[in-house]
Amino acid sequence: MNGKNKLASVLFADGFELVNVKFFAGTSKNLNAEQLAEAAAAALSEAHTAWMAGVPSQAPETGLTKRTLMA
Amino acid sequence: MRLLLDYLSETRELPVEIKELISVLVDAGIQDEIYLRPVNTDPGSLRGAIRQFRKHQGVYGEALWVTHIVYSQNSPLEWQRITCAKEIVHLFDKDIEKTDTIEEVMGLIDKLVGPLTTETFGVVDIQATVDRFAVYKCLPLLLPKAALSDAKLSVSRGELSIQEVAEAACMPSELVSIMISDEWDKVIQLLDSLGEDIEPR
Repeated sequence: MNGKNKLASVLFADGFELVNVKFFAGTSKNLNAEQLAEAAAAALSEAHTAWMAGVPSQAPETGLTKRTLMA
Repeated sequence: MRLLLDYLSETRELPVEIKELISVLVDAGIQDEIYLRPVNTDPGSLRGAIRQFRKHQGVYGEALWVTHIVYSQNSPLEWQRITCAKEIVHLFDKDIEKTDTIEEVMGLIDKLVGPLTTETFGVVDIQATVDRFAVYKCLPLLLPKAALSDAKLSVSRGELSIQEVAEAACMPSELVSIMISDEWDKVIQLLDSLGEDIEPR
Protein backbone atom coordinates (compact mmCIF):
# COMPACT_ATOMS: atom_id res chain seq x y z
CA MET A 1 0.00 0.00 0.00
CA ASN A 2 1.48 3.37 -0.95
CA GLY A 3 1.56 6.48 1.26
CA LYS A 4 -1.56 8.10 -0.16
CA ASN A 5 -3.58 4.91 0.23
CA LYS A 6 -2.36 4.53 3.82
CA LEU A 7 -3.37 8.11 4.56
CA ALA A 8 -6.80 7.58 3.04
CA SER A 9 -7.35 4.45 5.14
CA VAL A 10 -6.47 6.38 8.33
CA LEU A 11 -8.60 9.42 7.54
CA PHE A 12 -11.66 7.67 6.19
CA ALA A 13 -11.94 4.72 8.59
CA ASP A 14 -15.47 3.48 9.32
CA GLY A 15 -17.16 5.30 12.19
CA PHE A 16 -14.92 8.36 11.97
CA GLU A 17 -16.22 11.18 9.79
CA LEU A 18 -13.47 13.51 8.62
CA VAL A 19 -14.23 17.19 9.25
CA ASN A 20 -10.88 18.76 8.35
CA VAL A 21 -7.25 17.81 7.96
CA LYS A 22 -4.18 19.94 7.43
CA PHE A 23 -0.46 19.18 7.31
CA PHE A 24 2.72 21.03 8.22
CA ALA A 25 5.06 19.68 5.55
CA GLY A 26 8.62 18.81 6.49
CA THR A 27 11.74 20.82 5.81
CA SER A 28 13.39 18.52 3.25
CA LYS A 29 13.90 20.25 -0.11
CA ASN A 30 13.38 16.94 -1.91
CA LEU A 31 10.16 16.03 -0.11
CA ASN A 32 7.56 14.52 -2.44
CA ALA A 33 3.84 13.86 -2.05
CA GLU A 34 4.26 10.15 -1.34
CA GLN A 35 6.77 10.79 1.47
CA LEU A 36 4.54 13.46 3.02
CA ALA A 37 1.48 11.20 2.81
CA GLU A 38 3.41 8.26 4.27
CA ALA A 39 4.68 10.33 7.20
CA ALA A 40 1.24 11.84 7.83
CA ALA A 41 -0.43 8.42 7.74
CA ALA A 42 2.07 7.01 10.25
CA ALA A 43 1.81 10.02 12.58
CA LEU A 44 -1.99 10.22 12.57
CA SER A 45 -2.30 6.46 12.96
CA GLU A 46 0.07 6.54 15.96
CA ALA A 47 -2.01 9.29 17.56
CA HIS A 48 -5.25 7.45 16.89
CA THR A 49 -3.92 4.23 18.46
CA ALA A 50 -2.66 6.10 21.53
CA TRP A 51 -5.95 7.98 21.89
CA MET A 52 -8.00 4.79 21.63
CA ALA A 53 -5.73 3.17 24.25
CA GLY A 54 -6.36 6.04 26.66
CA VAL A 55 -2.85 7.48 26.57
CA PRO A 56 -3.12 11.06 27.94
CA SER A 57 -2.83 14.10 25.68
CA GLN A 58 0.65 15.61 25.73
CA ALA A 59 1.29 19.20 24.65
CA PRO A 60 4.88 20.43 24.36
CA GLU A 61 5.83 22.26 27.57
CA THR A 62 8.64 24.76 27.97
CA GLY A 63 9.27 24.30 31.68
CA LEU A 64 10.11 28.00 31.78
CA THR A 65 8.94 30.44 34.46
CA LYS A 66 6.72 33.14 32.99
CA ARG A 67 8.16 36.64 32.90
CA THR A 68 7.58 39.97 31.20
CA LEU A 69 10.03 41.41 28.70
CA MET A 70 10.19 44.86 30.28
CA ALA A 71 12.87 45.59 32.88
CA MET B 1 -9.42 32.45 16.69
CA ARG B 2 -11.04 35.59 18.10
CA LEU B 3 -11.62 33.66 21.31
CA LEU B 4 -7.89 33.04 21.78
CA LEU B 5 -6.83 36.52 20.72
CA ASP B 6 -9.21 38.06 23.23
CA TYR B 7 -7.97 35.69 25.96
CA LEU B 8 -4.41 36.79 25.22
CA SER B 9 -5.17 40.48 24.68
CA GLU B 10 -3.48 41.68 27.89
CA THR B 11 -0.86 38.95 28.10
CA ARG B 12 2.62 40.32 28.75
CA GLU B 13 4.12 37.28 30.51
CA LEU B 14 5.89 34.70 28.38
CA PRO B 15 5.98 31.96 27.37
CA VAL B 16 2.37 31.18 26.49
CA GLU B 17 2.02 27.44 26.96
CA ILE B 18 0.16 25.37 24.34
CA LYS B 19 -1.92 23.69 27.06
CA GLU B 20 -3.26 27.14 28.09
CA LEU B 21 -4.64 27.62 24.58
CA ILE B 22 -6.13 24.14 24.55
CA SER B 23 -7.88 24.76 27.89
CA VAL B 24 -9.50 27.93 26.55
CA LEU B 25 -10.80 26.08 23.50
CA VAL B 26 -12.14 23.06 25.37
CA ASP B 27 -13.71 25.22 28.11
CA ALA B 28 -15.49 27.21 25.39
CA GLY B 29 -16.86 23.99 23.88
CA ILE B 30 -15.07 24.42 20.54
CA GLN B 31 -14.43 20.65 20.54
CA ASP B 32 -15.35 17.81 22.88
CA GLU B 33 -11.71 16.78 22.98
CA ILE B 34 -8.41 18.11 21.64
CA TYR B 35 -5.75 15.43 21.79
CA LEU B 36 -2.09 16.27 21.25
CA ARG B 37 0.47 13.60 20.53
CA PRO B 38 4.25 13.81 20.00
CA VAL B 39 5.22 11.36 17.24
CA ASN B 40 8.53 9.90 16.17
CA THR B 41 8.42 11.49 12.72
CA ASP B 42 11.32 12.83 10.67
CA PRO B 43 10.72 16.61 10.64
CA GLY B 44 12.21 16.59 7.15
CA SER B 45 9.05 14.79 6.03
CA LEU B 46 6.40 16.10 8.42
CA ARG B 47 6.44 18.68 11.19
CA GLY B 48 2.88 17.99 12.23
CA ALA B 49 -0.77 17.67 11.29
CA ILE B 50 -4.30 18.23 12.53
CA ARG B 51 -7.20 15.86 12.01
CA GLN B 52 -10.69 16.87 13.06
CA PHE B 53 -13.37 14.21 13.03
CA ARG B 54 -16.74 13.16 14.38
CA LYS B 55 -16.85 9.80 16.11
CA HIS B 56 -20.30 8.31 15.78
CA GLN B 57 -21.50 6.42 18.82
CA GLY B 58 -24.25 4.04 17.77
CA VAL B 59 -27.34 4.80 15.73
CA TYR B 60 -28.92 7.17 18.23
CA GLY B 61 -25.83 8.39 20.10
CA GLU B 62 -24.55 11.92 19.68
CA ALA B 63 -21.38 12.29 17.68
CA LEU B 64 -18.22 13.16 19.58
CA TRP B 65 -16.26 16.09 18.09
CA VAL B 66 -12.58 15.28 18.37
CA THR B 67 -9.34 16.89 17.18
CA HIS B 68 -5.99 15.16 17.00
CA ILE B 69 -2.87 17.30 16.69
CA VAL B 70 0.43 15.52 16.06
CA TYR B 71 3.86 17.11 16.19
CA SER B 72 7.31 15.73 15.53
CA GLN B 73 9.12 15.09 18.80
CA ASN B 74 12.33 15.30 16.77
CA SER B 75 11.78 19.00 16.00
CA PRO B 76 13.30 21.62 18.32
CA LEU B 77 10.88 22.58 21.12
CA GLU B 78 10.32 26.02 19.54
CA TRP B 79 9.15 24.37 16.31
CA GLN B 80 7.01 21.84 18.19
CA ARG B 81 5.18 24.83 19.69
CA ILE B 82 4.82 26.59 16.34
CA THR B 83 3.49 23.36 14.84
CA CYS B 84 0.84 23.00 17.56
CA ALA B 85 -0.14 26.68 17.36
CA LYS B 86 -0.36 26.51 13.57
CA GLU B 87 -2.62 23.48 13.77
CA ILE B 88 -4.78 25.14 16.44
CA VAL B 89 -5.43 27.94 13.93
CA HIS B 90 -7.09 25.36 11.66
CA LEU B 91 -9.78 24.76 14.26
CA PHE B 92 -11.19 28.04 12.95
CA ASP B 93 -11.06 27.21 9.24
CA LYS B 94 -14.12 28.36 7.33
CA ASP B 95 -16.21 25.71 5.56
CA ILE B 96 -14.55 26.23 2.17
CA GLU B 97 -11.15 25.96 3.82
CA LYS B 98 -11.87 22.56 5.36
CA THR B 99 -10.29 19.56 3.67
CA ASP B 100 -12.74 16.70 4.10
CA THR B 101 -12.91 14.62 0.92
CA ILE B 102 -10.36 12.17 -0.42
CA GLU B 103 -9.88 14.26 -3.55
CA GLU B 104 -9.18 17.39 -1.49
CA VAL B 105 -6.79 15.57 0.86
CA MET B 106 -4.71 14.20 -2.02
CA GLY B 107 -4.83 17.53 -3.83
CA LEU B 108 -3.64 19.32 -0.70
CA ILE B 109 -0.75 16.88 -0.27
CA ASP B 110 0.31 17.50 -3.88
CA LYS B 111 0.02 21.28 -3.49
CA LEU B 112 2.04 21.41 -0.26
CA VAL B 113 5.09 19.85 -1.89
CA GLY B 114 4.67 21.54 -5.26
CA PRO B 115 4.50 25.10 -6.54
CA LEU B 116 1.65 27.06 -4.96
CA THR B 117 0.80 28.83 -8.20
CA THR B 118 0.03 26.46 -11.04
CA GLU B 119 -2.40 26.34 -13.90
CA THR B 120 -4.78 24.29 -11.73
CA PHE B 121 -7.17 26.49 -9.81
CA GLY B 122 -9.90 25.55 -7.37
CA VAL B 123 -10.80 24.83 -3.79
CA VAL B 124 -7.62 22.83 -3.14
CA ASP B 125 -5.55 25.87 -4.15
CA ILE B 126 -7.41 27.93 -1.52
CA GLN B 127 -6.93 25.22 1.11
CA ALA B 128 -3.18 25.04 0.42
CA THR B 129 -2.92 28.83 0.70
CA VAL B 130 -4.81 28.76 4.00
CA ASP B 131 -2.40 26.09 5.22
CA ARG B 132 0.61 28.30 4.45
CA PHE B 133 -0.96 31.44 5.96
CA ALA B 134 -1.66 29.56 9.20
CA VAL B 135 2.02 29.76 10.18
CA TYR B 136 1.75 33.56 10.25
CA LYS B 137 -1.69 33.58 11.84
CA CYS B 138 -0.46 31.47 14.76
CA LEU B 139 2.39 33.77 15.78
CA PRO B 140 0.26 36.14 17.94
CA LEU B 141 -0.83 33.10 19.97
CA LEU B 142 2.75 32.66 21.22
CA LEU B 143 3.81 36.31 21.18
CA PRO B 144 0.59 38.23 21.92
CA LYS B 145 0.12 41.89 20.99
CA ALA B 146 0.96 43.42 24.39
CA ALA B 147 4.06 41.23 24.81
CA LEU B 148 5.12 42.05 21.25
CA SER B 149 4.82 45.74 22.05
CA ASP B 150 7.11 45.23 25.05
CA ALA B 151 9.52 43.23 22.90
CA LYS B 152 9.70 45.93 20.22
CA LEU B 153 10.40 48.60 22.83
CA SER B 154 13.06 46.54 24.60
CA VAL B 155 14.78 45.66 21.32
CA SER B 156 14.67 49.28 20.09
CA ARG B 157 16.24 50.45 23.36
CA GLY B 158 18.93 47.80 23.07
CA GLU B 159 17.82 46.17 26.32
CA LEU B 160 17.03 42.83 24.68
CA SER B 161 18.17 41.10 21.51
CA ILE B 162 15.78 39.31 19.19
CA GLN B 163 17.37 36.06 20.34
CA GLU B 164 16.56 36.90 23.98
CA VAL B 165 12.96 37.67 23.06
CA ALA B 166 12.77 34.37 21.16
CA GLU B 167 14.12 32.49 24.18
CA ALA B 168 11.59 34.14 26.50
CA ALA B 169 8.74 33.34 24.11
CA CYS B 170 10.20 29.89 23.29
CA MET B 171 9.82 30.59 19.57
CA PRO B 172 12.18 30.29 16.59
CA SER B 173 14.16 33.55 16.36
CA GLU B 174 13.54 33.85 12.60
CA LEU B 175 9.80 34.11 13.25
CA VAL B 176 10.22 36.55 16.14
CA SER B 177 12.40 38.62 13.83
CA ILE B 178 9.50 38.89 11.35
CA MET B 179 7.15 40.05 14.12
CA ILE B 180 9.60 42.66 15.40
CA SER B 181 10.19 44.06 11.89
CA ASP B 182 8.13 46.77 10.22
CA GLU B 183 6.94 44.11 7.77
CA TRP B 184 4.74 42.55 10.45
CA ASP B 185 2.26 45.42 10.33
CA LYS B 186 1.87 44.71 6.61
CA VAL B 187 1.25 41.03 7.31
CA ILE B 188 -1.43 42.03 9.84
CA GLN B 189 -3.02 44.38 7.28
CA LEU B 190 -3.03 41.66 4.62
CA LEU B 191 -4.62 39.04 6.86
CA ASP B 192 -7.09 41.61 8.19
CA SER B 193 -8.07 42.54 4.62
CA LEU B 194 -8.80 38.87 3.98
CA GLY B 195 -11.21 38.86 6.90
CA GLU B 196 -8.91 36.85 9.14
CA ASP B 197 -8.88 37.37 12.91
CA ILE B 198 -5.33 38.37 13.69
CA GLU B 199 -5.63 40.97 16.47
CA PRO B 200 -7.70 41.22 19.66
CA ARG B 201 -10.78 43.42 19.57
